[in-house]
Amino acid sequence: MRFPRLPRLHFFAVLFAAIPVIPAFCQSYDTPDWLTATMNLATPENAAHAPAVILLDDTSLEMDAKGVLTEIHREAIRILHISGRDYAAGHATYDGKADRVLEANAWLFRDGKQPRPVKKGDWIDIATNDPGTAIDEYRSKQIDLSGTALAGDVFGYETRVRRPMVVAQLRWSFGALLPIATERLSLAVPPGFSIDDKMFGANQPTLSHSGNTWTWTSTDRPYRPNEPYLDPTARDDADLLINCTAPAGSAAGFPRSFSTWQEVTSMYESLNQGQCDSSAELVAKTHSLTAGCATTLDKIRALGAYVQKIRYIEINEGLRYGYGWKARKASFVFSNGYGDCKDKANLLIAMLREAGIKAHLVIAMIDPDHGFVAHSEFPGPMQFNHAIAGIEVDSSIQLPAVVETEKSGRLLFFDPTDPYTQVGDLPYLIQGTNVQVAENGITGLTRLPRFDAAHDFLVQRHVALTISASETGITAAGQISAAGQSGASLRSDFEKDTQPTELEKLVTHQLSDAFRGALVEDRKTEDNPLLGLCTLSFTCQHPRFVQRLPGNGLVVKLDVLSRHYLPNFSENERRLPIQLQPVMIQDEVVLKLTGGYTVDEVPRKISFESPYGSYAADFSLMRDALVMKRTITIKYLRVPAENYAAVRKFLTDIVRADRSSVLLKKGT
Amino acid sequence: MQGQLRSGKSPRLMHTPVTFDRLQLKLFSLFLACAIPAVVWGKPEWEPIPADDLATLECKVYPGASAEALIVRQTFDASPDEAWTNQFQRIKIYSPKAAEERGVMNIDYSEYSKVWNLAARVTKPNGKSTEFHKDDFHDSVVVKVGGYKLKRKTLAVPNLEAGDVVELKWTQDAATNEGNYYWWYCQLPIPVRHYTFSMENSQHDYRVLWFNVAHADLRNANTTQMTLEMQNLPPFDEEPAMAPTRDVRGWFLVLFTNSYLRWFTKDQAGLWQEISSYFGEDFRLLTKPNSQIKSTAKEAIAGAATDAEKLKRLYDFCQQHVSNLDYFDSADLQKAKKKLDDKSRPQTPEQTLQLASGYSHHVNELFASLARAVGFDVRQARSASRDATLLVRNPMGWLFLDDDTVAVRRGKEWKFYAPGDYYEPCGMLKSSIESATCLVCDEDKVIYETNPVAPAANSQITRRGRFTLDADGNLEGDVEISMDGHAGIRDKSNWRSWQSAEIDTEYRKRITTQLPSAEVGDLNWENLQGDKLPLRVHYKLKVAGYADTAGSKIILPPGVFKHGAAAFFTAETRQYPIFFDHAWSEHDDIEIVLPEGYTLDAATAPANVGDVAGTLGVHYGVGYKAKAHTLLYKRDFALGANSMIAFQAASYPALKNLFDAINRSDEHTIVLKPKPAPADAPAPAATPAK
Repeated sequence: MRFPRLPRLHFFAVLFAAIPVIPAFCQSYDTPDWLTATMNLATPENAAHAPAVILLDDTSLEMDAKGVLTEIHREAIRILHISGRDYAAGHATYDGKADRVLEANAWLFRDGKQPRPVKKGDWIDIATNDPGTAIDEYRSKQIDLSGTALAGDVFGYETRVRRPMVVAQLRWSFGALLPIATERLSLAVPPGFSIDDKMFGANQPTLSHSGNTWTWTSTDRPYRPNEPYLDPTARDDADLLINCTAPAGSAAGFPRSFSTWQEVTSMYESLNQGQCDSSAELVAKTHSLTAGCATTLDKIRALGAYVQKIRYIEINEGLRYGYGWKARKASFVFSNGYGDCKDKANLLIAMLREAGIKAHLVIAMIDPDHGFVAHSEFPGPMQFNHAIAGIEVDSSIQLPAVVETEKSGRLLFFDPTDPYTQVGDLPYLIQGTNVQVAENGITGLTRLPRFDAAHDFLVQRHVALTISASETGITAAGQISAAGQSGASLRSDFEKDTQPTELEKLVTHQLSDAFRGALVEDRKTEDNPLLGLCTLSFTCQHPRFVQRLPGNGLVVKLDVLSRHYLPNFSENERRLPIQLQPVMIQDEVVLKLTGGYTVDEVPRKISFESPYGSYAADFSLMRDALVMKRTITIKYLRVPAENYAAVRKFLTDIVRADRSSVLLKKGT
Repeated sequence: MQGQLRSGKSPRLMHTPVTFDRLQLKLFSLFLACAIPAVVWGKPEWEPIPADDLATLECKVYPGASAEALIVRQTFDASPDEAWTNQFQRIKIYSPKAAEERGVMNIDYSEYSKVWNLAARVTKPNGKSTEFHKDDFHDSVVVKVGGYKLKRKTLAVPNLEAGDVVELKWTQDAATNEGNYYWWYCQLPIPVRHYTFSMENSQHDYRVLWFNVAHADLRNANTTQMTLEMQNLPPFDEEPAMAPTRDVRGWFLVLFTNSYLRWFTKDQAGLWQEISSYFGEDFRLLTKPNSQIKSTAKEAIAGAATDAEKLKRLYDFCQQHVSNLDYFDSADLQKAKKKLDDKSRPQTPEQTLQLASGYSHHVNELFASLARAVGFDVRQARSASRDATLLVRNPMGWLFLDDDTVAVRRGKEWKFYAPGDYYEPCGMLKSSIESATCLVCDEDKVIYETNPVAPAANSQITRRGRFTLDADGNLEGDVEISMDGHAGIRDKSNWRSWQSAEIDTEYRKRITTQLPSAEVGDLNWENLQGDKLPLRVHYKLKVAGYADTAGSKIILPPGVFKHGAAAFFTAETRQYPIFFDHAWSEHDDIEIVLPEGYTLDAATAPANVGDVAGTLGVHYGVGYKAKAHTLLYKRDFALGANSMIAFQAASYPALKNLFDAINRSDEHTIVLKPKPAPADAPAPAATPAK
């Protein structure tokens, strides 16, 4: 589902700019007072090591009685290092069918002078189609002076955009990667109009209010660079949600506002009335898909799998009419064989209905970049960008993705847009988020479950090692099995990697660096939809993996499986919080003892736990084999930067413990 | 996807070529440009699809392929007033992945060009077809810039799934003016069964050349028509350490010409002579030294005894005196750049000397002029590059002589210099043109030369580590690494506009990729800025759990710098020749103080592999200083000590075998056992492992 983009995206998504309306083709722009005043500001102390600093990020919104916003955005960025010259650029996203970029100016200053005038021709206007999007009304005006900017230069730009609101709500995020001296948002509404604002987040801006104008100001925000395993919320200081209301008697022509979740549901319902239709072909297909299904769950699985296979294609048209929330007719999507998230969810609901199963459209939020989660306290559609299905099930269906809901009882949540996550599971990015079941009478949001590593992120790997007759080579026969989200990831690989060389890469990816020179001789994939288990089997040979020692000894490393599932932190210090991604790895490596070799000393058993996960390795000597069993678990956790050393220690402890060479010797 | 004449200046009697615009680029690269035999107006006619093609579920020749281009046809056609291309493609979809990838079809075109006869068809395995026409395509503007628009026609193909055959055809106007040339890859990421390129009614002379295609057939070729047919082209897949893509991937080129464009119509020998003569004369006139150049050159070489020394002085002078605009930026240099770019005439060496700024070719020209001033015989050398293609000894190869160096005659040999490549020290050329063919632009005769490959000794990586190992297998100590030649230039060049913190982060990442528990502290760089080599780094390294413990014993891999390194080659087989970026050598010198209470247990040295003085090899030395209780480890590696850096695909198994053996030897371990008694046990001398 592609909801209307926000009037102002996060800084890194959008560096504002706009269509210039300049009388003379090559005329450069006069320097505005705001930029003159800003460009001489001292660089804040917290900008140390940053490539650039935002001296000012100022947006003023003026709403008229029809709900049309005039947005003036002003931004000044000082380049601190040549590596920061890319920040001498900006763009503004706008709806090409609804918005108008009224004015756009830009300047680059060096020691108080402009090294080159900025011309109209410096701006470009591009379609913003994401891959897989056939049509998108959104466009972007962009300017890029990075080729000219040098350290010490100040880049500034100002845009004026007219944006009719689709609904009378705004969502605004404060914070960015670069340090910010001052970030400001002001909203002016006509006399008699009111706003209801809610602010969420740890570093909320200060609010001042004068007459019909509200201003939120945030200052001295630090540099938040890219770091591995970054908590996606790390750069968000605060999220501001605003509901605008027209005075009684002036609501005609003013966009819709919301004070309850029921009102939001009503909007979806009115937009989608008649869209969940049917057709003879759709009914026939539903019946053929469910013909052999003995249970309700079987039917859900069959229909879910069918809709998952329908291609994802976005066609974003009519966004100014709220069509970003409107699914295309189920019969149309069925006959065309493609659709976006709301289309697929709607089609699934229609097919389930034909199979006698009731389901609801569920509105969700996927925000991997910023980790935004919808707030129950603020009814409104601007908090969502995705759609899934909530399927009514009875107690005979016991699956992790079933949640007891306020109005519909037990709902099995399922995302047909994700082609790899099976019924009963949920995509990682929507686990633990709040969703709105679009159903009459609801009063709040439903929290989706978050699954733990053992249940949803389990990878089981088994490898049997046999030393070759030459006593220097080794043969490995292995099996990698994964379920839940780990299985979904493997399933995705299976679909993408069909050629022999691609499959070979899949196998070598699972092997440790030391073992990666092995020749992969055989590889086979298997996807068992009933068990939800994906399996990759292989055999391979490494001609020189075993080291011979003088006196009939051998050194064999049991470390043949990769640790690529574990995070790797190379920096000694950390600025921002960490997002640990859950995983449980269960490895079993069996070394067959042949040729009269025995194990010199069986490695010690070791296990430990930490707040971030656990490690256990056990070695046992069977009659003709040494068996190493290892379990590594990483929990889903957001870890503050202060605990970086502890996380790193935990991972170092794993490496320290995870040493698995064995000495073999001839005889007893 | 397009070629463009890049001679740096317009040759005589040749029109400035019109470059292939973005429309065509997208169109041909994404949608396998092809053509129907003639312009068809009205309802499109479709050729029948053989039943076998409809029914098949897997590519017969290349099993596992996600899709197969059954037919790709592309025709250039023209009337006296206009020219156009007809395109046709028929793709068999074998997997959901391919259905996803080809489910949205885009044709991009310039606002100044037209697209017509647009049609698509999807045919199911049962033969049922759905057709799509002009109105089914959505029109949009992809980019607007300065009054120019790039437009797009889009079709979201309904119900496309594995088993379907999807066809797309359209016609588009084309520029076939004299001097235009176009080139396309005919080998695509998916297999291509039939690829046809036809010329119909060409209004101009033209030439067609094809490369790296095993089964190509040129038919009915005359001055206005021809058909080039290519069959069963395998899917193209990138491999590590590859030759330039255009030297291995199938492609073809068409160049429009006429009888007045002598360069395009001559026989090969005459053509190259003319090119050589043209550039030779131009360069001679440009680099003629005046008095200022002469006095500067004289001053620069004062005291130099040999020719080599004189040339090095001039080379260094050019690199140090001239601010190279291709590498540096500042407020002053931006002004200089603007002045230079606005000039209508080329900047002469005298001006480069006076202004002390210029692009790389200006630096080279100044060097040539200075060298001439002190009596050297100098030519311009136009060189092929790995950035394009090395296969230039053909009638159109001169189009791809993109790099220029300065050839100086030393005795009977030509030596090559390019001080305009800022980081390259005298005696080395940038790695992308090493081993490339170059044309020494002589006015009287054609001289082909091959650029030298700097031997491994010129690009040394020297690593020194002094460590202590504790009884838990933790390693700690100081490291110094120096990177010379290409090995240092690569990093210096990549990092030239990075912040030091970014460089440190990147470098730490490299180390921890190999040694996940490593802690890297006190990173300290030398020669990071400027052109000075070697690049050197010092740091403190701590690796928790570096050595394995097996019961009471410690298993120590002494090759700290290579331990944990990924295998160089992992694929079982190889399709294309192997080209390393450059030759290089590594010298590791490691000392590890062993933990108290432990002694060596039958220690061996890793097995030597290959020939360090030849093409590829590594040599190890392991020793023990009993008094200091210290293990000594030395490793000397070289690839291309004999300057050999390119290998046929047939050599892959042998090469992989050598790299695997090196990898194994790098992981060689030394077993430490607890000392039996307080007194030092005599340490055995290290012996090579079997």
